[in-house]
Amino acid sequence: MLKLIHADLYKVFHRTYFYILTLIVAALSLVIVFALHGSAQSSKVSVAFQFAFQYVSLAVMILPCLTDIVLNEDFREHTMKNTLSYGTGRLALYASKMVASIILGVLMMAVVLAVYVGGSMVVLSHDAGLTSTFVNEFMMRMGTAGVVFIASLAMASFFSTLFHHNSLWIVFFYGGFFFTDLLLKLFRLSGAVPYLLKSQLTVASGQPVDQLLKAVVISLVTLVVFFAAGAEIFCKKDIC
Amino acid sequence: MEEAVIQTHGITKMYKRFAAVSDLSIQVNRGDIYALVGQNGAGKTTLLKMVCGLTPPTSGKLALLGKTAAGDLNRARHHMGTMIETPGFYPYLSARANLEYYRIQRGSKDEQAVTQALQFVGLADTGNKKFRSFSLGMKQRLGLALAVMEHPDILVLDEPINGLDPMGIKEFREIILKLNQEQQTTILISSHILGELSQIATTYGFISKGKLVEHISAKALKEKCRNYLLMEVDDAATAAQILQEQCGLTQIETADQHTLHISERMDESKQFVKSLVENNVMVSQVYRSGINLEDYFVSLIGGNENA
Repeated sequence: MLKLIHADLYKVFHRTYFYILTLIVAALSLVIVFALHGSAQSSKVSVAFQFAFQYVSLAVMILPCLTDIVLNEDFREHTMKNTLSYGTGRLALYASKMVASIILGVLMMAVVLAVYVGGSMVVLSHDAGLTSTFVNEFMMRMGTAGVVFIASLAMASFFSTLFHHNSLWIVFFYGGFFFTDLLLKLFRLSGAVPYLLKSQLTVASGQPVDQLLKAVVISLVTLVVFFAAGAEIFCKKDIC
Repeated sequence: MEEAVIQTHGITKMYKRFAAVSDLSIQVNRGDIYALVGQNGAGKTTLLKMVCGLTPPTSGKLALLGKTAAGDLNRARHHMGTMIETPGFYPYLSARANLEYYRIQRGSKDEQAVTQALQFVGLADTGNKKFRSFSLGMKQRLGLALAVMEHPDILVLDEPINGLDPMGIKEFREIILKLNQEQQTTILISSHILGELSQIATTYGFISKGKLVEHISAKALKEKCRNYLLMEVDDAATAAQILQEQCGLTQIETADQHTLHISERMDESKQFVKSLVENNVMVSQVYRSGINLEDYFVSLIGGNENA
């Protein structure tokens, strides 16, 4: 499986797409820093850290791009058959695609965070609110958000595999992530809303720190469910 | 005893109620160039996809290099190079980068494998040209380069010459023959371009509507498709004896009491008629007859559907 992951990373790093995507997101994060700098009340590093969580759900918007360049592209360009006809196991292939997209997501997140935090430290004023406790909590929340993103990647991979013939999978992913809570409320199943990935992101953003572990567990369970479902479909699918 | 490298036993593929492949059993022996012939939609590609693991069979068994279990089949496929339908590669990568991707993926330690494969198919000079800019012929060549990169024992090629110009077809044919003769590569190739297959195949499998209609060696097919001189006479046995003794013919077949098939010196029909008449054998008709590969194929399938 390591060879499969290595090959996918080779492919991604040999095109400009990933670099441009990371650059754009990092640039946007810098824009936020400078926007905060423009406001006297907000021009503080601690405010920037808190502000980050207001936009963390936007990061989910980027995830389909990662799934697209690692998994969906293989369906689109009909390259999957080259791999499978060599005798590569389907489960190993699907898992390697997940891991490769996670690695890319972590890399992107690290770069963007580094730019955002670094930019904040340079541009904004350091205030008393920036304590070690505050920073630790920020990192814990970011880590929790990271687990939610990984589970979201599994969800994106599932929809990509299910609807690989067209781009509808993106609509189903966004709908599934952002609007399932509304559907559940519509069907009087509000009790399930706290278990959605979107809700875990809300917990990571602003709920008490002692709720973070539960959010991580729910995200991991969601990851396993979507991975298993996606793998099951992939293993039985006709590949052309 | 010939070693079977690919075997299917009653393999079937159903799409809802449609049988794309139905109870099909073939055997490809080591060293064969096995030509799978059938019209569009006959089931050739579906069969090859099942051999390559791209489509699971609905029922039946597949054996590769004598192995049937799922894990063993995957390991056997490591010895297989394939080109199924239009070659699929990443449009933003060069030929070299595309092959390098698969070399890494397969864990090959041979760093020269990519260069050698590109040289073998004549794509070594493409430099940084991206796959999206390749002509159809170049794309087909790259597909073949990937198929041969690991020096496979078996090649599975699905309509590999589609879209190639005559020069490209000739070069492709030479590559196939070279692989088979120099590296003893077993080749399973599908096409509906019968003329090309007839120049390379050692065995044929004719498929129609998902079923195997006939399995025949190239030698036997050549016998069935040969041209001959047909003579209708009053006594075929006597006429054959006369022609053998007086004209020195050896390739005479008595089709029935009144019909001879002569497969040699067909331009000397006047001489043969003269010999027979001089020996009081009546000749009522003399004409060239025979069946070419296309006609044979159509007669198997039944009808004039476009091959």
